[in-house]
Order: sequence, then structure tokens, then C-alpha cells
Amino acid sequence: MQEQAKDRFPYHAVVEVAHRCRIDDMITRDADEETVIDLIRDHVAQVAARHEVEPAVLARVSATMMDPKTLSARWFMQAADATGDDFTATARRMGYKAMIKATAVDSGASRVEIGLAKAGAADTPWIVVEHIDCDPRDPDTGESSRADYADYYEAEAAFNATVERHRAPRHLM
Amino acid sequence: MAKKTEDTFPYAAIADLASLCHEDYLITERAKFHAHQAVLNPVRNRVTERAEFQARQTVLNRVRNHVQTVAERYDIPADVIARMTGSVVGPNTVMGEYLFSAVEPESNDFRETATRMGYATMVKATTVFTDEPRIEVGLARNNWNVNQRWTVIEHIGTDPDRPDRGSSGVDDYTDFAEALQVFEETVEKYRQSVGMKM
Repeated sequence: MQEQAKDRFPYHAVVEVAHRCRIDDMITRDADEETVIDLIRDHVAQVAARHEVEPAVLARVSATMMDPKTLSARWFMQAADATGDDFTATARRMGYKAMIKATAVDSGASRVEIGLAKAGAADTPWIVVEHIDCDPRDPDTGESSRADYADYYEAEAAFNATVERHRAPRHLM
Repeated sequence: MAKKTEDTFPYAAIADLASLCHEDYLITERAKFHAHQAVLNPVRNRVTERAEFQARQTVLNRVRNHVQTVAERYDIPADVIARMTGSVVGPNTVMGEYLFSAVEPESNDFRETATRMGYATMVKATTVFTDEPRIEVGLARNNWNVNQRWTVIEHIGTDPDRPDRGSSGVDDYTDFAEALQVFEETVEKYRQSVGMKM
């Protein structure tokens, strides 16, 4: 599905966070990793609150713009992780580098994974991906589908709706 | 002239350019591979150096193309979008370095002036007059002022090693286009006054 809406994601928030973190001495000097991650988390939380975006989403979108092998990118991803969150494991299984949201749902006999990722396309930079019984070690198994979106908030609504659909009790479906 | 209250800078262009560069395998992996090879090779002969140079030029050309594409797509100066993206992806990373280099011809004084002026988030900077008093003008992003994100800076006779010297002025703007216009007018104003003195 191709949406023609304008992307309303607040990219200026990404710039603000990236610059704040870089300018802050602790990021570049000899602070320990935990302090740096806390500092990033603080900056992300402040900027996210002002721009009405989820802190984890802002941190991950910021990380996708950095060289994924750099410490900065890893720190931003760590700053986004909440305890008990299944994001990292699910994103890794689904195989998308620029994943922003990901969750696994046990839907009866099937294992369903749903993700929202940043794509490279200029017109439709967001994708919602659905994996049903997929196994990264065996690419022939399971089914997958994806839908492309121009606007982050439309993609997020589609992601949430997909998660809810799979979470709903089977007899109601 | 009343200042504008909305920033028209196309921030999505940064995500677009970063994405194009990340997707390009050559940008990071091949450049790193050649850099590693050069370190590992104990006998650095002309062939190795030439291969390194060619690899770097290939990557640089690809980054340059990406910058041009995005600059045209969003109608924004190529040097500004390259530097903004470079500052977000990390100025000290391989890609950040390529993004800054992609818009810097040898004669460009951007880096030297930006470093002297001391702003990490400079997107335009030029030295109008190199003799005393030295005149430098810059346009930087100001991330600590939520409402006015762009700053035009003038340094007259300042010296980064002697903070008590010279005078400086800053003016904050909400809209990038407005700040860019003021930057260009300021550069032109000083160029004309320097030209009249000479």
C-alpha cells in the first residue's frame, strides 16, 4: 500500500538530540558507558517530550542515522531499551537493521512478529512488517508481508492495529 | 523586518541523505577495508597508495552524487545539507568525514573558519578578511534555543587563543531561510566594506 501523505515525523528532534549529545563533553571524553547512556536518555526524554514523540522511537531513529558500528549508535539503541522489552530480540530475528518498533505476539499456534522500520525510499520512508512463523535460520518457512508508508504516524497506527489484531482472543477474530 | 516564527528547514532531507549513504555499501565498508589493508601492508608502495586514493575518490563521488540528489529534491544548498547530515551521523566517523569532504573544494575555507570560530554545529562559515582585523562570518545551528534554532555569528579581530581579543555578535533566527539570507547579506556587507578600504 502506498500512502501519499507527508511525513510528519519530527526530524528536527533527531538533529537536536544528536547535536546536544555530541556537544556535551561527557559523550566524547572519558565518562563511563553507563553515565553516557544515562545522559543520552535524559537528552532524548527532554527533546521527545517537547516534540510529542516516544523517547524510544526518537532514540532509535537517531541511531539509524549514525554509522551502525559506532559507539554512538549502540549507545542510542541501549538508551531506548526498557527492561523486559522484547524489541532487541524481535528486531534481530526479523532481520531489519533500521527497526524502530518490534514486538512478538503468541497468537495461538503461530508466532507472530510485527515491526516498524525506517526504509530508504524517499517517498515512503516507513514500513510495517508482519512475520508469521518465520525462522531467520530457515528462510523458506513462514509468511511475511510489508506495507509502505509516507507518514510515520500512519505507519505507527498500522503497527499498533496489527499488534492488537494478533493479540485479540481468537474467538473474536 | 519581523522575524519568521516557523523553521522551513527540510529536516527530512537529513534522514534521506543518511539513509542513501548507509545503503551504499561502498561508503563505509569498502573505505574501511582499504584503510585496513593499507595498515596491514608493510610495504606501502605506489600501487597501494593509488588503490587507496582511487577507492576514496569513488566513495567521495558517490557521496557527492547523493548530496546533490537530496539537495535538489529538497531545494536546499548542497553544502548545508551535507554538513547538517555529517554532524548528525557523526563528524568523526568515516561517513561523516566523507559528507564534509564532499562539499569542500580545496579552496574552501569552511573548516578552518568553523574551527577558529569554535562552533561544532556550523553549516556555513567564511573568512571575509584575512588581515587584521580578521573578519569571520558563520551560520550555525543552535540546539539550546528551542524557538530560535539558527544563529548568525560575526567575529571581528577575534583569536581563539586569546578570548579577550576582538568583538563578536550573534543573532538568533527561527527560520533557516531567513538566517541564510542574513548570513549572505552580512558576508556581502563586509566584502564591500573591505573592498572600499583596499
